[in-house]
Order: sequence, then structure tokens, then C-alpha cells
Amino acid sequence: MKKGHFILGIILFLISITLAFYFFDYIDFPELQLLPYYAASSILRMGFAYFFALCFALSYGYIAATDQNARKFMLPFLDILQSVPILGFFPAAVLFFINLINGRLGVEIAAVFLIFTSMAWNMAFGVYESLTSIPKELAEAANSFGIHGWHRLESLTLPACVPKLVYNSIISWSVGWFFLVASEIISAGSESYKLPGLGSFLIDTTYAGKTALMLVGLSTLIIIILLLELFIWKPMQSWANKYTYDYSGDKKPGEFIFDLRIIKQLFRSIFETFSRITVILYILFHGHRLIKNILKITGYLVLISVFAYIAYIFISSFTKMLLNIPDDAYSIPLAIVYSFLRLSAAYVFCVIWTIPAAYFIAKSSKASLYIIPIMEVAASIPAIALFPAMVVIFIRYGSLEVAAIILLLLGMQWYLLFNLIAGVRSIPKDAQNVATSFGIKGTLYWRKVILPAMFPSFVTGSTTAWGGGWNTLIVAEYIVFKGSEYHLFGIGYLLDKATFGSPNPGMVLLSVIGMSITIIILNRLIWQPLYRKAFSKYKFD
Amino acid sequence: MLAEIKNVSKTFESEGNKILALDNINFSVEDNDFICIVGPSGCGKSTLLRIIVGLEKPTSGEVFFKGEEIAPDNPKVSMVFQNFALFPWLTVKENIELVLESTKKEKDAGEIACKYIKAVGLDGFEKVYPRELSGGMKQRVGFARALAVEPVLLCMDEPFSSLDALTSQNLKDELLILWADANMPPDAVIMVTHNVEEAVYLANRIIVLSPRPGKIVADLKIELERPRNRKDPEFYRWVDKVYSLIV
Repeated sequence: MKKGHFILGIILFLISITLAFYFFDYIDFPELQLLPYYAASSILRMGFAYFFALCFALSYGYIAATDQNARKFMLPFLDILQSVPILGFFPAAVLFFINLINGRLGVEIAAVFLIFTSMAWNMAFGVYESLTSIPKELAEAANSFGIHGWHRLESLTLPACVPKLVYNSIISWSVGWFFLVASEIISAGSESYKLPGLGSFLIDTTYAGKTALMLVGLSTLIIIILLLELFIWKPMQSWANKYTYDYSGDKKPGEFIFDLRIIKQLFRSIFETFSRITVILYILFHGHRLIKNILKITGYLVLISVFAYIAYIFISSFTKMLLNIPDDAYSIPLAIVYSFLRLSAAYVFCVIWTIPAAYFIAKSSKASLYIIPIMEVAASIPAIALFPAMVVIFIRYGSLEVAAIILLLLGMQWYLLFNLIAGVRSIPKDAQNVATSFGIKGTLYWRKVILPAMFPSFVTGSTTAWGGGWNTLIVAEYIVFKGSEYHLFGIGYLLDKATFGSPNPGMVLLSVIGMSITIIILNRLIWQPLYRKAFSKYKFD
Repeated sequence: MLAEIKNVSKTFESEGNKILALDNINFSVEDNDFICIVGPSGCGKSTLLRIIVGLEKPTSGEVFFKGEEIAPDNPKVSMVFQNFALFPWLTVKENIELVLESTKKEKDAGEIACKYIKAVGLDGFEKVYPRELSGGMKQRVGFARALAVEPVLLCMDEPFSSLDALTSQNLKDELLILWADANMPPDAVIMVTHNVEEAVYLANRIIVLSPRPGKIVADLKIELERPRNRKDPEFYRWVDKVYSLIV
């Protein structure tokens, strides 16, 4: 079964469900009229954010990879940005942009900004990594043949970015959907700043108790994601495969259900125009000292003024806060502990099921064929979109705690699973052959071969899973349903309450700071040492 | 007769096309054979070797080892890999102990490992990780690992091709000593190489494969005195002869 067929099947199934709802009078047509408009606004937000993220990633990654001095602070900075729970900043961002531009445009920009921040960092890392991991021989070959300047950029530098950039774009889009839905859901609480979109449609219909409509909205979201997968990411991936430095001649399976040369051609031409523009800009900036200096100075000015503004807001709200420390502030540490425990519980479940599952899926070609498409489709649905539905079920039949942990699990597990699958697959064939030909089996095989080999991907997967988990937390601990508020004590709850329940900017600031510090400490104390160990000791050369 | 390769053919499927890689290969391996399989690149020599050790299944035909169909985990057949294939998280000694533990020689695993580390001239490096070793030393570990299970038949896939000339010459001589030593494994060796001179230097039998699909063009007995001298005109006659069969 090819993934394409499977996706088409799901799309048809969802459409027929919608038609069935309509036929049996669960939904009225007028209520659906606005759905295309909602869907279009959602997609547009994603598109804008992605465009900016792409530009950012290429330039940031390129500078970090080529400028030794800049790298020293650019990488740690990116690292911190990546580990900060972006969703916590959404309320702050809304306030910031509304100050700049009044009205809905300000909120729109805040939403696009939020989605941008969820997309950009990993893409920038991807560009940086692919530029620094250009095989040395290839770079030296380019040097010795005198391939310099724009020719080099076009023939070596940009193509080197393609595989990781495509791969990270796919991740960014799926993370982006999560934040899109989240930002629409969060802003739905206030009438004046409401963003029309699929996320707000989901939450509105849930609150109104129109379950059928909510399901139709969910179907629409899933169909859009699947169509993008089918018509953009799949062809893009097979196009990107061409640019991998893989000389092993492993045959790549024909992934697609129908030949989409035109789409591939389209991508090639988009990429080529894009690279040509970059190349021209590059020559322009590097060729003329004046332009370079002017750009540098304006860049610094913009940076300084932005930082100054942020510092001003920080200091002013801080002083305001110091004069008037919110009563809840003392409960922040305890709230963080509660949230941490909730995340840990979800993480333990993730680890228990993903390690064996990843091994089984990666090893069995049948499983790869049937299970991976299903998993990928499941993973592409932003967990947060299911939350309204889950709340309906769990408020009636269970506790919110269970719903929250399930939501966290959904928000964490895919990172771990797909990283581990990639990890198992990247074990060199000869290492596998050693195990086979020397008869290394059973627990010995797991202890000495598979688990160590999975370790690097386990660490990367865990880091991203925890990042996803902290973001999910913001939504998982607090929900307003049919006019009454349901919550679990935790940092996400404090943050949401201070934003939407009884607005308190000081509390928002303190919560975000507390959460960020916790995450940074966890990264420094746990994940970074593990990461270093994984890559110094457990990585195949 | 130690091993028998019977009517082995292999076809690969690529984008719907069937490509014949090996076409009806037949030969047998005797005790004390040192067989080198040579041929132009892409003729399927490595595939043939992997079929002989059981890592790959032939499309048709069979491989017998001591009268039984070959199993990939047969401890009497072991393998040296071109790119060493050592586990980076295990030390030199642990890498060797790992394969011993799997063949249920757990008790003396440490002792046997040390014996073969010494045999390949790596004593003092037991606790070093592969990453810290040079290519030549890594391949010595590869040899020690393959020999530690005390195989009857040692299979090697271009084991010297990623080493420099001097290192590989030393290793070749040590390998010949081990092969000639009746008390030490292995009894027979099959080695894949694209280096004809190397093949003439080492082998007492050279099997020449044709370009794709790989067929046996010649099965030559090399009757040269050992130790062989590369400057001997007789040596060069053999090299030329093998070359003429490949081209």
C-alpha cells in the first residue's frame, strides 16, 4: 500500500462523513458557508509565516556557518530560542503588536509571528548543520577547481541545504499547524481579538455543543494537511533525495501514486529562482563595501532598538510588579513541579511504547509499508485540534487529568517515535551485518547493539518531545467549556488564568520567566550533557 | 571439501527492471584454500561474498558449508568488513568480547579476546575506543574479531582497500602467517579484491569474474613459491595473465 493511496482513502472517508452529516441534518449548509473562508485564512497565515521562516533560516544558518565570530553567540542564542515555550509568549506578543498596529491586523501579525517562531529555529539549525557538514572532500574539490563566489553558492552551498531544509520544512509545517490552531484557540477567548480560522471554528462549535460541525471542521483541517502532504511534501521529498550525499546506491522506493513531474518541475524552478535571488543579493552585499556597511549598521540599529524596546517593557513591567507582587506568584514553583510531573508521566509512557515500536517498524518492511503511513497521518494532525473533542468526552466520563496527560502524550510521542525510527534506519548496514554474521541475538543484541545505536536519536527525540510537551501544557491545563472553567493546577493554568481569566501582565511575565528558566536548566543539566555524550561516543563515523 | 557454491544466481530489482548481477556461479572451497575473487567493479564480487556467508539470499542456487546449507550466524564462518564495522561505543576488547559472548564462550571471552588482540599486534590498546585508532589499527581489530570466534572459513570484503600501502603490506604478511599456522584459525580464506597484485601475492586460487552479469571467467591455481616476491618476473606474468582475463 502506498501512502498516497492511504491518504486518498482517508480524504474520501472524511468527505463522505461530512456528506452524511449533511444528509442526516446534523449540520446546516449556512453554517458551512464560512468554512472555506476560515480554511483560507488559516492557510494564508501558515504561508506567510513559512516564507519569513525560510528567509530567516537561510540567512541565519548561512551566517552562523560561515562567520566564526558570529557563530559563538548565534548558536547559543538559537538554542535558547528553540527551548523556550513559545506559546507562553503569545499573549505578550499580542499586546506588543497591538501597541504597534491597532486592530485585527496587529493580532494577525502576532499570530503569524507566533507561527514563525515555531517554524524558524529548526530550519535555521538545518541550514547550519547542512552547511557545516558538507563533505570536506567536496568543499576541497570545489576549492581546488576554483569554484568560488556565486558559482560555488549555486553548485555547492544551496544544494547542500536542500535535503535538511525540506525535511525541516515538513517538521516546521506540522509544528506550525499546532501553533496555528493554538493561537486561534487561545485568542477565541476574547471577542475583539478573535482570529477567524479553523482553530477558532473548532473551539466555537465545541462550546456551542455542535459536535457534528466540530467534526466537519476537524475533517477539513485534516484534509488540508493531507492534501499538502500529497501535492507538496511528497514530491518535494523525492526531489530533495537527489541532493543527499549518499553514494551507497540504496534504491529509494517509488513513493508516489502518480507521476507528478509538473509539480517537481515547479519546485525546481521555485528553488532555482529563490537561489538565484539569494545569489544576486549575496554578490551585491559582498561585492560592495558601502552596501555591506550600510546594511550592517541598519541591522545593528534595528537590533538595538528592538532590544531597547523589549528591555523597556521588561523593566517597566518589572518595576510595576515589584511594587505589586501578585499573590499567586508564590505558587509558581509548585505549579512548575506539578506540570513537570505531568510531563514526566506522559514521557514515561512515550518511552515505553516508542522504543520497541520504532525498532519493529524500522526493521520490518511490511510494517514500514502499512504502519508508517498511518502513523504519519496521525502525527500530522495537530494534537491540540483534538483537545476540544477530548474535553467533551473526559469532562463527561473521566477526569481532566487523564485528558491532559493524553494530550501531552499526543504532543510528545511522535517526535520520539520518528526520531527513533530514523535512528534505527541509520545504523550502518555493516554494523547490522556484524550482528547477523556473528549471531548476536536477544538481550545481548539489545543491550550492546540496538540500544546504544538508538541512543543519539533517543536524545534528540527526547529533547524535541519535551519542547513539544511544554508547549502543549499551555493548552492542556486550562479550558473553558460551555461557560464554566475547568483546570488542573500547573504552570500552564497559572499562565492562562493570568492572561484570560483575570488579566495580570505581571503574573504572565513571572510565569513565563519561571517556565523558561526551568526549561533552560533542564536542557543544560540533562539534555546537553547527554547530547554531547551521544555524539562523542555513540555515533557511527 | 569445505564449502560448495552451487548454481548461484542473483537478480536485483530496481524500478521495475530486473538486473542480473550474478549468473550461475559454481565453485568449491577446499581446506587450506586462499581464494581471491577479482573482477571489474560492479561485477557482483561483494554480493557473491555476502551470499557465501549467508548475509544475502541468492535468487537461485545454494551455498553449502560442510554439507549443510549456510546459516548467516554460523560461527565457523566469519567475516571482515571493508569499513571495519566496529561499534563506536565499545572498546577494542569489548568489540571482540561481544562476538564471543554471542557464541557462548562467555567464560573465557576476556582471555580469548586478549589472545587475538596480541596476535594482531594490538596489545596495550584493549581499553581504547575505535574512534581513537588509525585505519590500519581498526582493521586489525576487525581481523581479531573475525579470528576470535575461531572460524574455519574467513571471508573478507576488500579488507585492505581503505588502508595505506605499508600498513596493508604488514597486515597481509601477518594474515598469511595466521593462515599457514595449523594451530590458528582460519583453515581457508575467501577474499574479494579489485587489486590484482594483491590477489597474486596472497592467493593460491584466483577466481576471475566477468563484468555484469558476473560469471566465472577463470579459476586459476597460482603456483608460486612462498614467500612471494613482487619483483620476480614470474610474479608479473601471473599479474598480467589475470589482468588480461579481466579486460
